[in-house]
Amino acid sequence: MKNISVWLPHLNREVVKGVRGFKLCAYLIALEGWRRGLTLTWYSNSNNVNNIKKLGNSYNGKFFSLSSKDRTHYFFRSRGDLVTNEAVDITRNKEETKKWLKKSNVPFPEGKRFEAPVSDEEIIEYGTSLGFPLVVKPTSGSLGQGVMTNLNDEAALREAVLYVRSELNFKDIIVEQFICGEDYRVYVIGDKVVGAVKRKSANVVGDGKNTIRELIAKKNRRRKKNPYLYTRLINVDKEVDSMIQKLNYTMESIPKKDEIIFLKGKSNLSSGGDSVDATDELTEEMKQVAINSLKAVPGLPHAGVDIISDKTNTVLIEINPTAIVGSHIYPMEGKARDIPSAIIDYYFPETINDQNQKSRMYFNFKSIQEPLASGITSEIKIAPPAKGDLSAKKYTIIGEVQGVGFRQYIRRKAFEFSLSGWVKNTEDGSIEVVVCGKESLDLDRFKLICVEGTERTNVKEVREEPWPEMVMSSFEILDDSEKNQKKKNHKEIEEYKKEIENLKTQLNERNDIIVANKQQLEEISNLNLEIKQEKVKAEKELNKIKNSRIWRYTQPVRDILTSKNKN
Amino acid sequence: MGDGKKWLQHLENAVPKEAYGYKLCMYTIALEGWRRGLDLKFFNIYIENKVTVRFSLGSGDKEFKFAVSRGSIVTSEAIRICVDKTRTKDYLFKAGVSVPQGKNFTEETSDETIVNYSQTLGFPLVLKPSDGGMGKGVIPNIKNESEMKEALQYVRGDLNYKEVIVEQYVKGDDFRIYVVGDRVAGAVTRIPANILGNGKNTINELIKFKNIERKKNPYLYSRLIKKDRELLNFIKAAGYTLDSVPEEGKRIFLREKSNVSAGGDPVEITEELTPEIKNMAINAIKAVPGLVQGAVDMVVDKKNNTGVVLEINSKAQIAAHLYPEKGNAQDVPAAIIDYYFPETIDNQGKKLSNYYFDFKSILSPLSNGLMKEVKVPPAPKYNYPVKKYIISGKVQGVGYRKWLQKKALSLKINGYVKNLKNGKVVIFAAGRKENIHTFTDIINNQSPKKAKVRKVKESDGNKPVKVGFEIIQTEEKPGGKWISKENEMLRKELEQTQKKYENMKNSNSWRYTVPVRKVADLLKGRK
Repeated sequence: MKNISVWLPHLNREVVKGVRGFKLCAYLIALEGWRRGLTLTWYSNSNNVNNIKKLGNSYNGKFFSLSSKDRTHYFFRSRGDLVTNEAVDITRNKEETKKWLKKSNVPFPEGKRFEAPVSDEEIIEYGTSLGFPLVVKPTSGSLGQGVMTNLNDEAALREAVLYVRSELNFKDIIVEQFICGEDYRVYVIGDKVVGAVKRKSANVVGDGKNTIRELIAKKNRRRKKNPYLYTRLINVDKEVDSMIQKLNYTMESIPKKDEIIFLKGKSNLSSGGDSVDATDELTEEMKQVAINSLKAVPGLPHAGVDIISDKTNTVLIEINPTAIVGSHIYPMEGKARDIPSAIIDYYFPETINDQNQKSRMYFNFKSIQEPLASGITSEIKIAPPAKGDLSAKKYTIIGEVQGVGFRQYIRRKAFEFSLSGWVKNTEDGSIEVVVCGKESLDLDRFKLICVEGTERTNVKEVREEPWPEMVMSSFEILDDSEKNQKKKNHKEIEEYKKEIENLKTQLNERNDIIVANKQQLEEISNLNLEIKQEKVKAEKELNKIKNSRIWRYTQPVRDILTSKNKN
Repeated sequence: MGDGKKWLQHLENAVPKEAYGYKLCMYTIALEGWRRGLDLKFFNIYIENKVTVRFSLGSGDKEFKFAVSRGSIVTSEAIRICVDKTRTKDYLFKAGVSVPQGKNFTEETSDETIVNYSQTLGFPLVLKPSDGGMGKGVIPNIKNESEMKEALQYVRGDLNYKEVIVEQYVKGDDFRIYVVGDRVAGAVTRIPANILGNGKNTINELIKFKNIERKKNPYLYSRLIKKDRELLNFIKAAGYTLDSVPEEGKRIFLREKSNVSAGGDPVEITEELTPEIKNMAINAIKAVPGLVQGAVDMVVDKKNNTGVVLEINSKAQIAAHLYPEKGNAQDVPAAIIDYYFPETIDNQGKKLSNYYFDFKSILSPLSNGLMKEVKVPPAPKYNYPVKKYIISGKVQGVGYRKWLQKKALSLKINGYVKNLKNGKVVIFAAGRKENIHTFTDIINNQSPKKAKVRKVKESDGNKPVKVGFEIIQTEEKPGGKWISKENEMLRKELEQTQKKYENMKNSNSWRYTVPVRKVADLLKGRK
């Protein structure tokens, strides 16, 4: 397989399980700081401890601070307080951004916005003065609707303007220079590029065995394992149908090995596109455009930058100081880039050396969501991780151990021994425990407790394995919780309902066919009947003729004739 | 109420279940300070490797940490003195506070020496471990030499408390008097587990009734009367069995021990104390340097209006004063906050605050090691009226509660939203008048996309409100009964449909019509 991805072992799936969207950015950065020994505090919506610019309505799980002995930095999502609020305002306003970029000679596509009252002629005139090729797009359009690219002359521009303004009825439009090339999202900190990804439209790669349908299912299974993409699956819709039809394929076709089949025109990750690490692909010039764009805006030490480049020409499209970092850490193809680590290096350079003794722990992010979201607490300080050498073991306890309060008992014991980790029921009726502590002796003592069990258990065997993975800093009873079970049930029910609906429509369709067939059957048998009747009539006529005297008399004549014919 | 008890109105419905039992002290003191506008934080510390939850109250630069009821004004030297009973007595004696005469004996002292000393002191005597707590190993009313030998054997031998105290046994009532500064804030005594006959029910039934009552008491709810051998023997000695029916109005004691944990009743008696006894308790606290608050254990001779001080507990539980089974509750938390934050005394009107705070989501992550410190959002400054709404329509399973929570929080409204079993949703909300107005408007006219509100019933609420706006999860058995049922039904329906489908595929009419369909196709083709 070509499209292999390499992720960071300390940010594996278990560590970020259930954390999604913008919270994932915040969690990844907070986690990095916390693991290096910084004090981590999360704040609720109503907490005004710092005036760092916040976006959206809900801040919980996105607003936090990291403190060392002598200072505190506040963060919102992936943006820290070294980015000034003024810089955030500038980047949120395109015209304003362009003003600053121009000052520093950072290339960006020239263009202008035209509001409804402006005449088409005026727009076309402006476009022609800008020089071709051009792109025309609605100001408020979404998902690429009404975006007319690569307009090469005045006629094409005129047609596009008419189409977008009159037919699609988007009066407010932007005319811009069209730059041909690939889209890159580059993450810049200080004067360094720390990662870049590009997007690839939703696609599958043939293996000479599976049908397109199977390949999509396979791809979606892979996406589900990606913490960043697991909610963004390839949805088989009309667009997919028409894309594969154009290639003369159906869903049941089996593409050749290594044949790439694109399923969507757009490369949005949300419509099933792939994020591909492209850090090593950037040219010096591309990097320089990205770095210079940050320098052009005052108070902007780190941000994600969108550029378009064909490797000779590079232009800047957008600067986003609150950029998503998940796509760099969980690319579908290529190497993960540790943006969180680079951000913490920048804010707390004195901890760079602590990296080697970074804790292998992570904290239960999900548990702090509800108390913050509901305003029950206004700030939460996370307990520091255990540092230094830790030993961890996984015990599988086999026997009659479920439904007898054994997990609660184990949790109590873990508290007593100051061990962290988790315990959970498994489907085969046993219990799995992962414990982590400073003294391996404590783990041995803890194992004895598992072996011993309680009055209500019957422990047959305790299997021991080393646990090289990350460990939670608290001790928790994991999933198979009521909520999960309920969710699972709900999902199952929805699936059943769908299936039943499907079957019902199929039944109805079949019924319709049967009814139609019956009608045809009747018609046909009626027809048969008629034919039969006619046949009988004809036979009768024939017999009449046969029996008629003339016929009989002429028999010898006919015989002669036939013999003659034979000769 | 039959026994004449009165609890504090401002704590009614304001103490969550998670705070019941030994955490009541922590919760009620924190609540009092928080309601007066102080900053409240909970944090954990490790004592001998075990996690313990503590809290702090503060305003501006001033901050005090609390361990159970003891605040950080109490010096560590004072704490050490109180733990050591002999040293405590020395300080009390020097300050002129009456204490029973007696002596401490170290591990090396032989039982004989102790017995000899007993004779010089004179009986009756009491024997107790030097560093025991909770009344464990205390042998009262030792009347002679042989009883003393037996007691020594038990305490030093069986219980393995080698270091013991022998002192005069003073007859009278055991009072625990809580002092803050120079004020008696509360006083309790305990009476052993008992029931009151009604001429109808058996002792067994009366114990059951009593336990039902105890469960309603936040302080006693887990300290029920157990029908153990000790209890059975005790009533047997008095001529009863569990099936006896005591006559109406007859009180029957079930045990000798009066410990609350053994089913005893706490009785608030502050209002019965004479000024002399109160002064004695206050002087006891003053006698220990650096101690500004604490519980003074006294034996009081009511007839002669005298008493002796046995010991002082600097980290005492105070919940008995708040939830007595008899007598009027005394607001010890208020007295403590008055002392630590005298500038907030004027805020006392806030005591009638409608607000309290959640404890569950604070306690468990602090105990399991996830969190180090949690800050509770400040208490609302005014007592806003509480509204209750019942929403009917398609409002469950459609994201209604989550949607509503966002609206409520953006309007700074406190309260909760919860699904009801009948498919409706109930909302409690308190906030500024104009915000509640907007909120009511939103409830009546808006809903998330998938929801469909049919009817909104609005009324006034009267219960205190928890700060924040919580989505209360409806309690359901794992998986939820109705869901499993619906699941089962759907599974069956699916099976049936599948069967039907299979039948149909194999059915005669379908198979027989195959040729017809072919002919029909041919005919169509011809046309």
